[in-house]
Amino acid sequence: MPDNMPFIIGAFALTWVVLLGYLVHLYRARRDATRRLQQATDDLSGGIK
Amino acid sequence: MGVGTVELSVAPARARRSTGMLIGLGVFLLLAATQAYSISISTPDRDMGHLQKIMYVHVPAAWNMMIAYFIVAIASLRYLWKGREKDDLLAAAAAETGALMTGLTLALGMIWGKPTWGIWWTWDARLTSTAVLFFIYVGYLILRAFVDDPDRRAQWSAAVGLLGALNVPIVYMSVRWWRTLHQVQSSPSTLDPNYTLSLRINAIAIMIVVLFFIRHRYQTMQLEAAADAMHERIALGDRGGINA
Repeated sequence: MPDNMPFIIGAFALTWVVLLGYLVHLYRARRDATRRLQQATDDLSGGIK
Repeated sequence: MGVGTVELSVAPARARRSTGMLIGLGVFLLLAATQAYSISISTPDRDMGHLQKIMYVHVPAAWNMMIAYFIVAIASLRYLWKGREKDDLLAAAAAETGALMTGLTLALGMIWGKPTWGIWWTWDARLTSTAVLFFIYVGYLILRAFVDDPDRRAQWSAAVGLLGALNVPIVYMSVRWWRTLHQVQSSPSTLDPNYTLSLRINAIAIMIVVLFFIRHRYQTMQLEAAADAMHERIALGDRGGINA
């Protein structure tokens, strides 16, 4: 195993943690925005579908 | 200006969310494949050994941070010119992704710097100018979070977004304009062909990830703006006429 392997693994692991973490954040933000829009639509239509 | 006028309905938003998840899965599988390929074919560098492989994440992150800021600059200019909300939202989405990639670039550079230079950080021109770029766009995001008036937020953001983008050429040229610890830009003529191919495919894969992030964030911001506009109408006592 190369001496610098912890740095190499650390770099790739950090990249995946950051990118996947942001992906999860994006999906949560989308879910919340959709929910808020649904709520606003329901409120604005006064319950009429 | 046209801020606060976006209206979207919920059903297409849900359909886009499902499609977005599938696209996201595909994008990340592509990134995993390009990284696995690059790691498997790259021979150790004469000087750096296997550490050279960090290039496949550090350099693409840096290049794509610049692409994100280029989008910020174009969208900000368009907003200042035409005053359309969608340009403001696109600039904001690209700025958020750009700040993320800048933070990642800095962190990866530190991980590469420690075993190569013997230090995590130094006030070198390239490192310092990149850190300044990072803090400008963190400031941009803080500004957006603290200004309530949509028109004022969009105008100030466009100004800061453009000023921040002016720093990008300085970051790029810093290794040539000043004597720095950071090496000058590599080119295909100075790289082993195996490294060049691997670098390019990883840069393309991360570019697709970045464009996916920007698109996804932009669509979410449109939904948030539409919900805000509806809540404003509710607060003003306007009800009726909406088809979900």
